[in-house]
Amino acid sequence: MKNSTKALSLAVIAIIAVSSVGILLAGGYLNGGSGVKIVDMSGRAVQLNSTANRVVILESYWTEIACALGAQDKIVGIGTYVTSSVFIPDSVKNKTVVGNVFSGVNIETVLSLKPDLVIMDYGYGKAEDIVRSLEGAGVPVITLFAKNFADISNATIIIGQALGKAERAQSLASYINGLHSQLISNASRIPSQERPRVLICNLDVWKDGLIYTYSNTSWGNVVVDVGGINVAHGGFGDKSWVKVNMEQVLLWDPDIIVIVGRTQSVLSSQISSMNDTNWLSLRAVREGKVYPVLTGSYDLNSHLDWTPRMVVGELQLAALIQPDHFASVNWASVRDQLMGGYYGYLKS
Amino acid sequence: MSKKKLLVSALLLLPLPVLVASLFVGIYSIDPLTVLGILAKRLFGSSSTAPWPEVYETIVFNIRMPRVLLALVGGLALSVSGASLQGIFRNPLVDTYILGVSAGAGLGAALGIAYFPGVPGSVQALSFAMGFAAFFTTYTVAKSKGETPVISLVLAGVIVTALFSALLSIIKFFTESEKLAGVVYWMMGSLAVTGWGPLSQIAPLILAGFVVVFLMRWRINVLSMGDEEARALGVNVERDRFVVLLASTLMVSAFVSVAGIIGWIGLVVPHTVRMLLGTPDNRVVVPVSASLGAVFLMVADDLARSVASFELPVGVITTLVGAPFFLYLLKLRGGSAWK
Repeated sequence: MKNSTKALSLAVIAIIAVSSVGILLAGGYLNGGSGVKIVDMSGRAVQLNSTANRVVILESYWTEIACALGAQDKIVGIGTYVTSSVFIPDSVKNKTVVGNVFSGVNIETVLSLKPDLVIMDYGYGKAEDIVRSLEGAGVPVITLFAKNFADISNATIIIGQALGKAERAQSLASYINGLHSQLISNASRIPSQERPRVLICNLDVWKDGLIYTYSNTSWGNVVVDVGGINVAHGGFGDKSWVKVNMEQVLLWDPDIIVIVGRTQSVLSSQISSMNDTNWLSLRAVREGKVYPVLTGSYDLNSHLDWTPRMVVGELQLAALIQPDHFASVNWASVRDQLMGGYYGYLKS
Repeated sequence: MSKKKLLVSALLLLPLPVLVASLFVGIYSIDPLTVLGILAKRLFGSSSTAPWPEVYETIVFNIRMPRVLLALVGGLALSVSGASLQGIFRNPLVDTYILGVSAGAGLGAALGIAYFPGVPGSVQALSFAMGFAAFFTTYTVAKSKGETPVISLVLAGVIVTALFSALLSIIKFFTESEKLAGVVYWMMGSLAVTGWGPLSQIAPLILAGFVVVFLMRWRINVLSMGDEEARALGVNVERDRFVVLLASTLMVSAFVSVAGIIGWIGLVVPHTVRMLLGTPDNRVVVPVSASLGAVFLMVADDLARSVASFELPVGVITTLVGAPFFLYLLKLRGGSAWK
């Protein structure tokens, strides 16, 4: 009995040890005596001497995650658009602005901040040139890019590891992953005949009368994840953003229209523009199933963004698109929990 | 030495002090003596341990130096191209981009940004190739019965520019928002992210184009008298005009492929030179334009990278600084030098 207990204990310890190493490897993270090695989202192995204490972050969503992990004091420089986010404290927004991925960053400004790490997007704009210049000047760079919910979770883990907040990052990732998995699992059980046809779009982008639909994009795919049928997937499933005219929308005649925008005024102007005969001939408009939803980080009521708030946005869309199946979901309560648990810095 | 020769000599030598002074300019505070020490160490290969941090050498030699040199060759390319084209087109309003080069380069860059993201060098290569494609389209369209009349070239350039701009609009329309923003920022022009790599690729092309135009500067004078007069003086009008156009396109396409579209220099610098020197003689206008264009873009880029912690588009600065200065000169001299 005694031997079997000892063997069982050893087996449990071995399993935990192997699992831990597995989790660390899966997260692209190893912290040994020689520093921290992180495999970022573009597959690059980045070696840091230790967890970063002075970091420059170019995008608002990664900055927001760093703040949610309690690492705002480590941020010494930010990207141009970070200052527009209401989810980032003024203490961070007042940091030196170094530029952005589109127009390029001032490498000298970055160097003058003496960062031990830069975190930024990859795959568009001048990202590659910026990474090359920074690494050439001896500054390690972690590149990230979010295409779906899993990427947000992964980015949270990576940022936490790089900034010495791995435990909190794991906790935050587990929290949002749990909610997301439960939502997807519940939605997958909805029969196809109960799935409404949804148009998710923006009418304000070009101001030229065209409708900017979200097809194979994160927001467009969330519609499907929460139990809807994205009408733009029919014919435009391989496209990200598709600009269509009113005739195409009339042809689709969706059951639900979700209008997205970054500010309340943008949403209001879009809703106002729908008050004409063309739009009124749509079933969704006649039945009052047009829902404005904030995206991004310009408004405290925005949830769909490349941050942990995404899970609240998903729940919000689920409640709009499948009210019968998600009647018990109180997304506002989840938002409050998330804000209370990880965004406490906003209160001050 | 006459006052005019003195002025010409001063203008020709001006890029050197401006180049050195530009190396002192930047967000990272490094005192000028240290900058000079770093330059001396690099140039003369001193092996002694440097008394300054290693990062200073990175900033001066790998960040500032290639950028300042890029501004130098870029300003030279745009202004020399503008001067030579104004000469052979006999039109003071012609600038570097009349042949559709900017529209072609813009289309190429947009193709690279929208459809080949992540492919190293794709934007630069496509921009360069399409700039040249636009030029050859313009030249081919304008050529009729073995001749390319100036008016046909101008009209063909306008049409090709419109055509390539329309194709660019189509790409912008269909591309995703992040890539669209990339295209828009590329159009503004910037020397923000450079380095020795891009400079080493384009500098030989620009210098080759400049040598050709420099050697042909007296022929540009003859071409600017009109085709009949030029032929009467024994100049092969078609060949010489084509060579100048080709050299100008080579210089501009090479620079634009790296820096994006930086306007105004090709127009303002040659006119400023003519007004300052009081002569349209391309034998002096071409080299002095090269010198002043280099100075203008170096100073504009100094401002772009130092007035704020982030980068300002240098194309915006060249216009904001160049336009009022040009207006001032115009008011002062009434454009008499062109006449």
